[in-house]
Amino acid sequence: MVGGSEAVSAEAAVGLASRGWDVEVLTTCAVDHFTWENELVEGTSEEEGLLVRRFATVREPSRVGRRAHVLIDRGVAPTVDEQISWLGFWFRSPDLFQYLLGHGEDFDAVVFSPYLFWTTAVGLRTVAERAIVMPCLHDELYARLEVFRHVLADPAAVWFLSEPEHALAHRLGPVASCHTVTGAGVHVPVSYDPEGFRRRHGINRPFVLYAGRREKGKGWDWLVDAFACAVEVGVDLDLVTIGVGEVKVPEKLDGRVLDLGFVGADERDDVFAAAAAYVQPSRMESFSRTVMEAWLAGTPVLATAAGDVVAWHCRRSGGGLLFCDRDELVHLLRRVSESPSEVRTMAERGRHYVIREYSWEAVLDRMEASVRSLR
Amino acid sequence: MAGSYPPVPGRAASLTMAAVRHALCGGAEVVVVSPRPSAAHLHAAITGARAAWTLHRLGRSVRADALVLCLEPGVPFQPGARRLRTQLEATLLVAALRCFRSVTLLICGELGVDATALRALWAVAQEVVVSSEQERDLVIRVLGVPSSLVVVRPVGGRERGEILVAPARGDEPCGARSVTVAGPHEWVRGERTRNLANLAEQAASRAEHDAARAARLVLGDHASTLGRPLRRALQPLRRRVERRARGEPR
Repeated sequence: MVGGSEAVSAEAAVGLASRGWDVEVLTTCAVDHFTWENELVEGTSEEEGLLVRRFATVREPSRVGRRAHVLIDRGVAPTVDEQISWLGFWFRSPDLFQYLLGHGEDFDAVVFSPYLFWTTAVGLRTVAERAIVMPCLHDELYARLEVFRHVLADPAAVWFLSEPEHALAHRLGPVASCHTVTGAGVHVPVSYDPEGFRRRHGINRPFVLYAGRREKGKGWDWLVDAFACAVEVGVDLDLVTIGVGEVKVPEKLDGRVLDLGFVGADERDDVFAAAAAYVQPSRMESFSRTVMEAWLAGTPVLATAAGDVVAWHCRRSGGGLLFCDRDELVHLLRRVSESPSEVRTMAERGRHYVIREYSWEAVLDRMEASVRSLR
Repeated sequence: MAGSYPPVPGRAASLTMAAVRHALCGGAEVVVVSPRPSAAHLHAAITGARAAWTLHRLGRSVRADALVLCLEPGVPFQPGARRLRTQLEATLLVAALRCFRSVTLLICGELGVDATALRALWAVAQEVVVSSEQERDLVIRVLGVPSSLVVVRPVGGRERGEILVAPARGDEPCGARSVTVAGPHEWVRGERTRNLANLAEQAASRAEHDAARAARLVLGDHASTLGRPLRRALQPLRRRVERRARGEPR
């Protein structure tokens, strides 16, 4: 499944296994977080040296759950009872719950992530005394719903990916006494091939990149509007996007927006290296892995100042520029277009920051220390 | 297993979850049915007369040897219901429970129903589980459960990992709230009346005493208080009792 939390969980699992931990992955058969269809085969398999157990999802939202979902979409919190019905709106996985109930005690720790999924909010009750939650919190209405308060308050430990996320958790309510900012690790690619990427895709013009889920909540729609304004005022850049979600662009942007869809890890690294800048319009970030990938590739970042986490990274690293509104983004895009070498030097600072703070070695050390403290 | 289940907060869900864990640790294969959508495999009405039908039907479809049923306010008996109604529902339930080789009843909180109406239930249970010594005394004294059947499996207050809910927790009738839930198609579209009639037939053959008692209730003055579908469902039973009253062979 595409997502920052999913990527961090998968890489942490592989990393911990490489350090001698016996790691099992318990997950669903779904790969799409909209449909939650059972697309993969139920049962056990071995993936990247890990034992993976996949459990079927069940989707049958009740009327109460649907009504609550509509309310939440409108920004209104339903009653607690309605929230409980809403928890199963997207999916449930009774078999996964039952597996945890029967086998939870076999594990030293069970790491749940992200906070929003049924698997975390409901599964936590089976193994709370040995549960670690990596919530990947965003400042959104969901995080304020009563049905998620126990997710931060009750586990044995909580792993945050950044200080702003940690601070947000304390603003939301009680947090388990054992919590730590582990951060998330990012693999440093051995090499990049930006020219090869341009050749493969026939891209000759400079472009800015957006990577991730193309959703309104991630700021994609806003970015397209802002980019259209930039094009109107003559900014000489294209917009390339990779990731999942439907890409709809207005006619006036025909030929200026290129959607490459979901790409593999190598292609992803190369597109980051080929971009003139990476744009992060999303406020809803708990870590923003794509910003780290951009910096590692030597690409500067333009990020929304409204996102606490990305703004925090940019201020700490000096590797990015912040914008508060559409006009400021248009101005920054013009700057990238007109003086690319000036903004490129910023990216160097970003790269040093990622290597210093978010190498997997450093992150795994923090995670291991937390797991050992539970034993 | 039948009873409230997470994410529904409260002691009933904790008690059912503990029973599932207990059964899983014993190597049993467990299917859970809860009154509203939850972490259970199935959800269906386990309230009132439908509870008996649901459990009977489910027991057969999953070929269950044993049943663990959590009695809580609203599941399966409505608190404050008339004694006659509770008695009839209990009778039907007893007939349904007899389909299982082993029956464990979990009792959670004040059920709010006439204790004498529940007496027949204790006869089919191998074990009655409560969560504290205090409850043990209560079920023996008030509900008339034979002390030899009662087992205490402690479940504390709020469980760690349970949804934090501001209002009073623990014994609220999770199943009493009218939540429309969809089950497998056959339950939604199922011919409830016909199935109830089958159940009544089975009640007559499997538990003559209980069935006859139910029939007496139907034929009594209170028959008019029963819902039309229920009256119709009990027609075969009524005819059988009438035939017997006339001295006709079975």
